[in-house]
Amino acid sequence: MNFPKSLSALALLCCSVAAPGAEAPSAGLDQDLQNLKKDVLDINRDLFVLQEDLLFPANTQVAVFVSMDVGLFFALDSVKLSIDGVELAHYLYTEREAEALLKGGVQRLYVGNLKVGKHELVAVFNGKGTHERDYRRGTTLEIDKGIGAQFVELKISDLQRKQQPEFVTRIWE
Amino acid sequence: MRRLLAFAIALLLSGGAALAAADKPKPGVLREGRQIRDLHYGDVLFHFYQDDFFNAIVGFTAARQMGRAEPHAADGELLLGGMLLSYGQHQQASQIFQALLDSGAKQEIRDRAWFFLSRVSFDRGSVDRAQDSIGRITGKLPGRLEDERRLLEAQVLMGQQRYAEAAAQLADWKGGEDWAGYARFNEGVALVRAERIDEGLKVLEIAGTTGGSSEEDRAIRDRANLALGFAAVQTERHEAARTAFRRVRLEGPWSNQALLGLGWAESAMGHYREALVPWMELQQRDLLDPSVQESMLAIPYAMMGLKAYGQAAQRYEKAIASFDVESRNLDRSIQRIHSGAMLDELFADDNPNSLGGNWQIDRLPATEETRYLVRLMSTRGFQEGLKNYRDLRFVHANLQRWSRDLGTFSDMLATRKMRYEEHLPAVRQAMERNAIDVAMERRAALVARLSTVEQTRDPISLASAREAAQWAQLQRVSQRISQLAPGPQADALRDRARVLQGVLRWNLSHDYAVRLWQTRTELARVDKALAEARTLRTSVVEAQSSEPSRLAGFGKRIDAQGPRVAALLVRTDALLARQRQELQQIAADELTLYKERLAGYSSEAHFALAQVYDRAAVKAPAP
Repeated sequence: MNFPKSLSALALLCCSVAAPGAEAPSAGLDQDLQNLKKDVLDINRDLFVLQEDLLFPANTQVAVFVSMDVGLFFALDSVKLSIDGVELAHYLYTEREAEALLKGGVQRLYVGNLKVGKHELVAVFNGKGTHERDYRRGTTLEIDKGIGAQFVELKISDLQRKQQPEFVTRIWE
Repeated sequence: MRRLLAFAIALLLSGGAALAAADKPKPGVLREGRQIRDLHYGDVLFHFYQDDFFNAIVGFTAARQMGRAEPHAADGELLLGGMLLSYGQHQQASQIFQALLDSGAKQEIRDRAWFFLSRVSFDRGSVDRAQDSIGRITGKLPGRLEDERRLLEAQVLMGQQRYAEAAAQLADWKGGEDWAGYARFNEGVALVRAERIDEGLKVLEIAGTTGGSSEEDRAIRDRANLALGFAAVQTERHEAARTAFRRVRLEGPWSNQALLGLGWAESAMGHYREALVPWMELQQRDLLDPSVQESMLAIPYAMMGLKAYGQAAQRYEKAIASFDVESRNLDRSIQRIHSGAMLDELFADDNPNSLGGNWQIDRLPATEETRYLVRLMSTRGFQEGLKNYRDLRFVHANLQRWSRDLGTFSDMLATRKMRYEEHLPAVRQAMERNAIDVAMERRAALVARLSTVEQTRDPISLASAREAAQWAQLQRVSQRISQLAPGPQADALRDRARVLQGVLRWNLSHDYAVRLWQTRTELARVDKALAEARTLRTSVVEAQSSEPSRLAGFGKRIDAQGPRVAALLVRTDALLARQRQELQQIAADELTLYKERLAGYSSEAHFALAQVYDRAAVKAPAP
């Protein structure tokens, strides 16, 4: 019976945590794959820019972003966005997306075009407040759209003083 | 590794703030010391934090091309390199880290770049290059990234078989508790490999009995106990081995090996009956596992120890039969792999819009090969091949979508051209009427009037329409009174008209300053409106001349992308076929290895069975 031989083989197997990664089995294929993925990333970048230029020209573009700071008093479920009474986005967040916001990610909720002049933006946030209570809060912002792209941030942050969430809107230059 | 890497980049982004081990950050901690200075950069992070590396990279490079995300330039480059690494683009990632090093970036950025370069090299199997890169780090890395550096350095040393140095690197771990289990386990293994057995066993004993209660902590403890058990058996410390093996959980990735080891520890002490307990338990488990296969032979070995030769012979025969059945199953599966059927079933319900690394093992098809697939998926080669194949399927779906979108863009552009041509005559007509110029002339006249009013301080000129009408009426009344025959009645009327004129003038004079200011304010508003109208007219005039060339420019850009997408689709199809072939080959090779191992065990069983028969023949001599 080859008792010691099999033991040493298994012992090596269980202690292999520190082994470096092996070289890819087929270097040619790996190289071609790397090159293709690079070219695909490049064309996606170019097409992304083309799409933005074409669909959302800089002089009429408006983009609305959602961000979260802390999130102790509010767990985001969904957000509804309207501009001038027209509903433009109704977004339900997955757990993964809500976590990404908590970590510091900023979601581009909506991108579209607006004419020069005054517009009313309304955002309604739904989620859970403290003690798992349903929480719904709206915020309104008047935008004076000039010539040039306009970016709006809808920020959910914690108001420590009142132990409740705060919904702030900010226009970025 | 991808998750660890993403976590490391998250650490890097946090500027060294303390983090909990779990993916979910402690609220309020992660964002400490870090402010998003650009919304588009934040959008990149939103994708990145969801492991959506492809869209994060595209978003970042597009934002950079559009002149956005500039406030995060240096951090951004590190992030881009890390994201490319996570997406499997190690060459591009290395180039970015190298460019950062060549650009004379700040030392702290350079140190982090060296760390990532070392990680790339280590993951690609270039241990010496990894050693060179990590050796160039001059300072302490921020926060827990420093812990990762120490662990990586020790791994590199172990890769170079410099076990004593690796153990020294990890000795007296003072880093974060989250990594302490890894550090102690690696230190123990390094000491054992450096043949400092007593010290190694002591460290593995600590690693196997301390730590947290998370699944990750338990898994590390299992591995430490397993390593401890095997090292103890090899050095004939069977009691210690038994204790260590028994600490490994019964259900877990290391349980089969622990059960096998426990049996060996018992049998080494002559406890064959006790050895049979864990080995019989292994009989209930998957025969593809090497520990289960080995237990098929270990059981009759123990029975021989108990002198139960008949039962031992039966067990050997059962093992041979089981190996044969499994071997035939493997043959069938290898054939199905070569025919492509297995991969077709594997990808039947797979979403091509999902990136390569995000594979859900519970989505495996319920076929007879499923258990082989589960095992294949735990091998590095198949995992890598599967990830690449799924990346290619994603790329294919992505390019097809762009191909459709480019068609839509062309239609949209044609509609815009048509609308432009339709609206042009009406716009030209409006321009010819020149309403703005007329308004400008009226405004100039108004300014001149206001200037006269200011010079003469004539309050009547600032009267409202009603007051002006009243003033005119009083003037007319005075005129008529002047035509009346002189007399007391005419005098009384004249006095009354004079009083009324005086009151009106007094009122207007009293409000003169306010009215003048109001008029100026109104004029400023008119100026603003006129300026906007002029700007608008300028853009309309410019658009008249530039729109055709702008539309033509878009047309050219769209036309240029079509052939690029088509050529990439051809390359993708070719690579998909090659990658599929490669994946099938990896799977078939892996199953062939299983088959060969089974054949080895089978011949061992045949040999042992012959020995049992020989022994039986010796004990029962012919009459």
